[in-house]
Amino acid sequence: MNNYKNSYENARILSTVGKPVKRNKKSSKIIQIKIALFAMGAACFISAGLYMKNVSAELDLYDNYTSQYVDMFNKEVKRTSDNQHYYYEYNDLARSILNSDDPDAFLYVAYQHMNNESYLDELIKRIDQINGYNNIASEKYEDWDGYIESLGYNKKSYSSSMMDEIVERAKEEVSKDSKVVR
Amino acid sequence: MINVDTIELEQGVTFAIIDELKIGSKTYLYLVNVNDVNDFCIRKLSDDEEDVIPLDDDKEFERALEVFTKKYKNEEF
Repeated sequence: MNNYKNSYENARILSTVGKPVKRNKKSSKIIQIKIALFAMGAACFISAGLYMKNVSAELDLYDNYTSQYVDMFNKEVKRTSDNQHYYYEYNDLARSILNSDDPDAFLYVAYQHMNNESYLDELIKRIDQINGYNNIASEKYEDWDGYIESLGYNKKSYSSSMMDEIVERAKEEVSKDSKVVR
Repeated sequence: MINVDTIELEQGVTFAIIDELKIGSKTYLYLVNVNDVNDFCIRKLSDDEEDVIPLDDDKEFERALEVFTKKYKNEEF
């Protein structure tokens, strides 16, 4: 998957960045290439296209799964009376997270929106306080790092790995729902 | 062996034009580095068709890639 991702990203950048080049048909060379080279080139485009479709399908799944948490998160973002600053209602946010169906996914949404480790440390602290150190995985995390380590990730891997995990959870949800419909 | 037209992009790298597709009013060129098939991109012809220019944004790239994928995905090479 990573190879496809790299090829796709390289192609995207090379396609959208660059200078105009004269297309002089008279001086352009017609070359003979092996059919295999043509096929491989076409296959590269197709792989990139299928990767793009896959990614956009996965992003839709992610968006659908987390949209309720985005709404709940936004409810706890308040503005100061002069409208100049915003702040978080940490306790209410912590309660919403603890009461949600998927606290890890909700925390991931918070991570993406807050984008600040000291805010996330504060959020984890409140979750611990409210839940009497018996929170999401029945253990005390101390801070944000402690929480992501408990999931088996670290600062570097958390962002992409947790997103993949949420997509997997969303897929499971969809497959459960489709079984119920049948 | 097949004959293909080529074009030299910015850094003097030669790309083979493996297809030209008209999408709407624009003509898109699907380019593969003749020395490295993993190096590929899409460019388009300017309105006067004199220049090969980069695509406007990611959306245009995605659209052009989608059209190519639809055309060839069931082909057996």
